[in-house]
Amino acid sequence: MKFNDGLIGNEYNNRILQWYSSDNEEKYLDNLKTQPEDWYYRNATIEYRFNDYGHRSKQINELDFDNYILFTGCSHTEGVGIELEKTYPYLLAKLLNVDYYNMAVQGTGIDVVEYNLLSWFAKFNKKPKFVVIQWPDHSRFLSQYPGYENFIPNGTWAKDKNFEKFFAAGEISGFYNARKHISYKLIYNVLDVPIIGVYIASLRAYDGKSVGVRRLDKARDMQHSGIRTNEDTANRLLHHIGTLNI
Amino acid sequence: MKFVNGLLGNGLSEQFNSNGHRCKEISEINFQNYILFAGDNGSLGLDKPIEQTFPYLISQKLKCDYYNLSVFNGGLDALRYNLITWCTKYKKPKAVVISVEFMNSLLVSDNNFMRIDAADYNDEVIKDISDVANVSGFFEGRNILARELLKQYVICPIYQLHYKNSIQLFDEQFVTDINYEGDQFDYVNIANLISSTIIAKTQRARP
Repeated sequence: MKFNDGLIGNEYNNRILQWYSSDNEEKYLDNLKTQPEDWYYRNATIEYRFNDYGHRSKQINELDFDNYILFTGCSHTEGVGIELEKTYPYLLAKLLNVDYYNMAVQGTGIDVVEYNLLSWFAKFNKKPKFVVIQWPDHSRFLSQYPGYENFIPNGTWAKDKNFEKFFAAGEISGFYNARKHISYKLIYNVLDVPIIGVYIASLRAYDGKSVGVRRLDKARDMQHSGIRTNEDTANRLLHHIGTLNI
Repeated sequence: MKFVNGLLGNGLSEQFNSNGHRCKEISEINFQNYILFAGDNGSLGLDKPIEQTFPYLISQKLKCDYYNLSVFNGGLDALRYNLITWCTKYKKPKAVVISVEFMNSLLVSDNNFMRIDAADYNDEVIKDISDVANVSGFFEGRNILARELLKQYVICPIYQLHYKNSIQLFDEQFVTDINYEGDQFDYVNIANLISSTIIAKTQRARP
């Protein structure tokens, strides 16, 4: 990840990729051996198109600032392993007949969620109708080493002994709780639009009012949420929004 | 520590106002003419009466009001949280004075967010976190994100008191860095240094 004109995005800004993150060709070829004959991704391809900011979204200058919603989160919201048109942000925006911007980046923790949201609200005068925040695993954080341009996203995938110690100590001590508590409250203090939370069912929820993602199927990488799950999430969010008087 | 009215303050004590801050109530502030202080132990000055703390002394010298957002052992998390929240909710001050002794402080909380406290560095678990955070680039990453956010939200002159051996959050291109190598508890000296720097800067800015 890196700063792209004041927002944090991935390092593939202005690039189109066939494979990205955990959705890599090697794993795909392995999956071909084990998946059924009618597996959707035997024939379907995925294009990962990233804008100037390293976000899987349209260019910001093409956004309809008078009628848009804003998404942020990690790979589940970025849509790793599925086509853009199958992601829940795309589907929800279509159901609501609004434009959207998706700042989600794979590997994101609460630090990037906070940074990008607060920066968006400082940078752009026109506010979204509402914000959808997919709360990430609270143990994730960005590292930076002096002299390097890119940040390194860290999470429980790190195999280093030091990191394992850090993750365990962070849970036991309540350090992760404090970190997310502060970011959560700060986001609510600053954002003057409705906030709709989303959480992945396997992760600890940040609050009692977020919409849970029910895992119904898997994406091409067999790790992330698949097409039906994204459809279901978009529909559940639509239902939830209907109850909020937004 | 506690959250009151959206701000993070110190725990209950007669030394603090209703928000847990060592200064008058927000409703009593002259928002037309005030300076905002943010930081931790140094700017709280809990070892001295409030009239001898450097935020108070500076406000007397500059003939202006002040509010002090400092939180004991709050470090960067408390600073970032309080400054951004303040700048979102209230009229901007004439200047912000930042003074953080323990930039890399860690905070802890329970699952239900019923409490938030400074971590206890005698606890081996906290030592583990701090050690790994140092070598893993966690602190550096946290500092960069906080700095870049504060640049966007604190839209007024910033004066950064920089103690000997403390971590400098902002570089000198963005703030007025006040390097102080003297006694950290000599608040009169600190107040003189900060006030004279603010006066000099303000006079230089006038035509």
